[in-house]
Amino acid sequence: MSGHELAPRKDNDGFGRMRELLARPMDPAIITANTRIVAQPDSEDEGAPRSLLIFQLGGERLALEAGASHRVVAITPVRRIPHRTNAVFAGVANVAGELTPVGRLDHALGLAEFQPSASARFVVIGSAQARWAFPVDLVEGVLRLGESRFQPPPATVARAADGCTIALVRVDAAGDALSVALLDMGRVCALLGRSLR
Amino acid sequence: MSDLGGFSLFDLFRSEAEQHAATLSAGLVTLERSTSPADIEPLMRAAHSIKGAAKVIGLECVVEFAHAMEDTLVAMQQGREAPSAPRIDQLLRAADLLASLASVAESELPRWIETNLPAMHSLVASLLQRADDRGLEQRAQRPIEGVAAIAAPQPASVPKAEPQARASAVRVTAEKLDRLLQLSGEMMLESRRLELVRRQSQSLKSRVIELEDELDRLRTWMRVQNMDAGALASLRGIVQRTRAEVVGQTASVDESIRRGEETASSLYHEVLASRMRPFSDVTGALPRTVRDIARSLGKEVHLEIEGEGVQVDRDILSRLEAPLNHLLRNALDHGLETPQERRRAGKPDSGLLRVVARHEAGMLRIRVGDDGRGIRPDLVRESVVRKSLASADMVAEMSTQEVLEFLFLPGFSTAASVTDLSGRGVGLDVVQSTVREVGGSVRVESVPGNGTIFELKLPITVSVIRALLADVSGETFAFPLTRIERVVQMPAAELTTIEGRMQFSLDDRSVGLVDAAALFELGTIESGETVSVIVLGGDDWYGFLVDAFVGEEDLVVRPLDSRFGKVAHIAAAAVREDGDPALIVDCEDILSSLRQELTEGRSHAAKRRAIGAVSTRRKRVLVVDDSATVREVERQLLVRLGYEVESARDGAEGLHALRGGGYDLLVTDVDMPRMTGIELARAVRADAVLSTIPIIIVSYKDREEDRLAGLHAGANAYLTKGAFEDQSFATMVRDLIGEAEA
Repeated sequence: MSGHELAPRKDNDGFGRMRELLARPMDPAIITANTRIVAQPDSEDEGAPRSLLIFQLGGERLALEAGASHRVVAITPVRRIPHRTNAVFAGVANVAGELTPVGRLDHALGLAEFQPSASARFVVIGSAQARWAFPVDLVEGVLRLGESRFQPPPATVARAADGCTIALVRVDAAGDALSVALLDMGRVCALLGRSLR
Repeated sequence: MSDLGGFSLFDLFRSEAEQHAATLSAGLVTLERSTSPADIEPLMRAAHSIKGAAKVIGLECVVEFAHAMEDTLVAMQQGREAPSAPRIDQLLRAADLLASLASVAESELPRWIETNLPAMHSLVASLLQRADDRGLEQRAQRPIEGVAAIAAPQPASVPKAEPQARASAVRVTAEKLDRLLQLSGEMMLESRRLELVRRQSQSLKSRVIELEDELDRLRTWMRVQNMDAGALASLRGIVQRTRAEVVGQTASVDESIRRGEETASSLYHEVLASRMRPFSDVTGALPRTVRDIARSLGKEVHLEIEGEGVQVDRDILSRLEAPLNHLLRNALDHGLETPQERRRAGKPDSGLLRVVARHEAGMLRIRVGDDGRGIRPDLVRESVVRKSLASADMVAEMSTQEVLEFLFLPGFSTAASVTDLSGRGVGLDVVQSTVREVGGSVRVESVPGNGTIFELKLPITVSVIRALLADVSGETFAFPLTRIERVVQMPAAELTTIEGRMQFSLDDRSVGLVDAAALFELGTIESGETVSVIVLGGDDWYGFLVDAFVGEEDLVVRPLDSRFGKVAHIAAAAVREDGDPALIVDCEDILSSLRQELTEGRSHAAKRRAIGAVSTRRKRVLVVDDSATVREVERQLLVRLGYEVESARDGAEGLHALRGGGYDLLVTDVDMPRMTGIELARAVRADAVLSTIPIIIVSYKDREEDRLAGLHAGANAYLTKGAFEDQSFATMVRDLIGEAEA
C-alpha cells in the first residue's frame, strides 16, 4: 500500500496539501549540507559541549545541566502544608498534573528574594520520587557550551557545607562575558530536602 | 506469517487459552451443582476453541487433550455421563494445565510440554474412560452430590463466566492509569481555560456590530446633511462581510469549546470510573478455592456470595484478595465441623459459608460468615491468661467483644491448643494490618455452636471523595462530606464564650469552636460579621471556624509526598477542578487531638508552660497502644508504681498528646493504625522540644530485627509484652525516669 492510497480523499483542503508537502522526501544534498552545519562545533568552544539551562534568581545568574531539569513551567499557586511549611519549604503546587513540593532556592541559598512577575517560572528538577519545583525570576534558555568554559568555583563556595555550585561557566551575553554558577541537581535537591524535616 | 502486529501466534494462543481456561475453571465448579445443558454449553465451546487454536499452531498434544475435555463435556451434556466429583476434579486439573500452558513463554514451550506430557496423557486416558465403564464408581459418588441438592436454589451465588467481558480486557499498570487520570484532569482544566478564548471572540463580535451601527449612523447623518453617502457603500460592504464572518466564527469556536469541554470531562470521568471494579473481581476464584479446600479437608460446604456487582476501587480490591482468602481458609479449616460433627450438633451435613459485600454509609462492608462451631470466649480468656497478655482479674472483667480482640494479636493463636479448640486466629493479625493499611477496620462476632462472622469495613475508594472545600488563611482545605455533621453560617454575634472558649448553640447542643487556622498553625481566622463553621464529630460535636466555604467538589485523592511523612491533621492532597491543589483534612486525627486536649482541660499554650514548672509533681507517662486491653494493663502497672498515666490510641494521637507537653516517658506499641510506634519514635526524636523524652517500645514482635528497628528509630528500650509479668518493664521505667515522685 502506498501513502497515496491512505491519504484522505479531500486532498484539496489545506491539511491535505500540508501533509503532502511534509511527507515529500527530502533532497539528500540538503540533508548532507544541513547535517554538516549542525555538526559544526562552536569555534570558541573546545571539548564536548554541555547543555545548560540558564536562569536568574534573586539577582544572580545560575545554571543547571539541561538534562537535570525535568521541565520549566509557568508559576502555579502554592499550597502551604500545615505544621510543615517554613522559609525554604513553601508547600505543594500542581505542576503539570503532579503535586510537587515547592522549595525556595532563593531562601535556601541566601539570595535576594524571588519576585513574582510575568516572567517568573518554576524550574522542576529531581527524579520522579524526589521531585522539587523552585521559582526563578527568569529563564534565559538553554546554551550549549564547550568544556573549556567551565572553571572550578572559588574556595568560599566550593568548601561551604551547603554549597551547590560545582563550576563557574563563562557565558557571552550581549557582548559581555558573564560568569554563571552551575548548580548540582543532587545538591540542590538535598539542600531543599533538608527543609522537610 | 507468524507475526501479527508484534504478537506472535503463540501469544494469541496463550491469551485465548488463558481466557478459556478461566471459563472452564469457573464453569466446572458450577457443574457440580447444576447440570443443565445450558451451563455445559459454554464449557464445551471453550474446550472446542482451545482445540481449534492448538491445531492452528500445531500443538498436537494440546489438540488431543482439549478433545478429551470436549468429549467428556459433550457426554455430560447428552446425559451419558454425570458430573461426578472425581470427573469434575479431572476436568479442573485439565483446566489448570491449560492455564499453566497459557502462562508459558514461547521459548519455554518445549520444556513445558516435556514436563507436562505424562500428566496430560494420563488425564486424557482417564477422561476418555466413559461413564459406562465406571457405573459403579459413579453410584458410589452419589452422596457428594448432596452438595448440589442444597446449592441448587442459589445459582446467583456462582459467578457467571463472562467470556465477552474478559476478551476485551487489557492489562494496564496502575501507575499508567494514575498518570492517565492526571493527564485527563489536566485536559479538562485546559478546556476550561478556553473559556477565555470564547469571551475574546464574543467581545470581537460585539465590537464589529458596534462598528456597523456606527457606520449606519454616519450614513444617516450624511444623508441628513445632504452629503453623498455613496462613498461609504463599499466600506459598509466590508464591515457587513466581516460581521458575518466573525459571527460565524464565534459560533463555531463556541461549539468546539463546548464539545471539547464535554469530551474532556467525560474522558476524565471515564478514567475515574475505570478505577472501580466489581467485587466479583476478587470473588471469581473463591468457589474453586473453597471447593478444593473443603474436599481436601473432607468437609461439605456451600459457598454463597452476595453483592458481586458492588463497585470497589481497584486498589482496595487488590488488597482484599489475601484477607478474604485467609478468612475463608480459616472458616473452612477451623470454623466448620466435619459432616459427622455437624450431624451430632443437629445441623445439616453441609456447612454454609457466606461472603456478603455491600455499600453502607459510604463504606464497603464485607461479612465473611460460617455456621460452624464458633469461638468459645472462655477458651480465649484462658489462653490470654496463659500467655501472660493480661491478668486473670482483668480478663474476667472484659466483655466477650474485648476478649475476641485478642485474636488479632500477632502470634496469639500459635499455641496449638487454642487453634484446635477455639479454632481461630492463624494470621488474623495479617488480615487486620492489611485492612488497616487502606483505612479500614475488622471485627469478629461469634456465637459458640452457631458460627462466626468476620466483618471488614473498608472505604469504597481510596481515590475519589466528595468534599466540602473551605478557605483557611488563604489555603484551601477539603473536608470529606462523609465526616461532616453540619455546615453552619451565622452572625458572629451568636458566638459566646465559656471559660475563654468560643461556642454556639446548634439543635439545643452547645458546640465548641476551634479556629482551624490556629489548629493548622497558619495564623488565625479573621472573623467578619458572619462566621462559617464546619461541624465534625460523632457523639460529640466540634465546630471548625473557617474563613469561607468554597463549595463541594469530587476530588481525586493523591497521597501526600512520602518525603513529608505523616502530616498532622492532613490525610492527603488533591488537585481541584480549577487545577489548584487542596489538602484533604484527616478528620479522625483532628477530632482525636481535640478530644485529647479537651479531656485534659488545658490548651496547648497552657500546657507548654507547664513543662518543668512544677518540680514536686508526679512523673507522667504516656502510653500509646491501639489495644484497649494493653493500654489498661500498662496503665495499671504504672499507676501501681505511682506514676501519672495518660493514653493514646495510635502514634498520631500519641504525638499530638506529647506535643501538648508535660510527659516524662513515652511507652508505645509498634503496630498501630495511622502512625506506627516506629514512626512515632522517629517523630519524637526529630522534634526540637520532645527529642529528649525517653521512649520504651513494648511489642509482641520479638525478632531481633524488630528490636533493632525500634532502637534504631530512637527508642531507649525495646521490650516484649511478656515483660509485664516479670519485673523488667517496671525496672526499665525506673531506670529511665526514676521513682514517680520527683
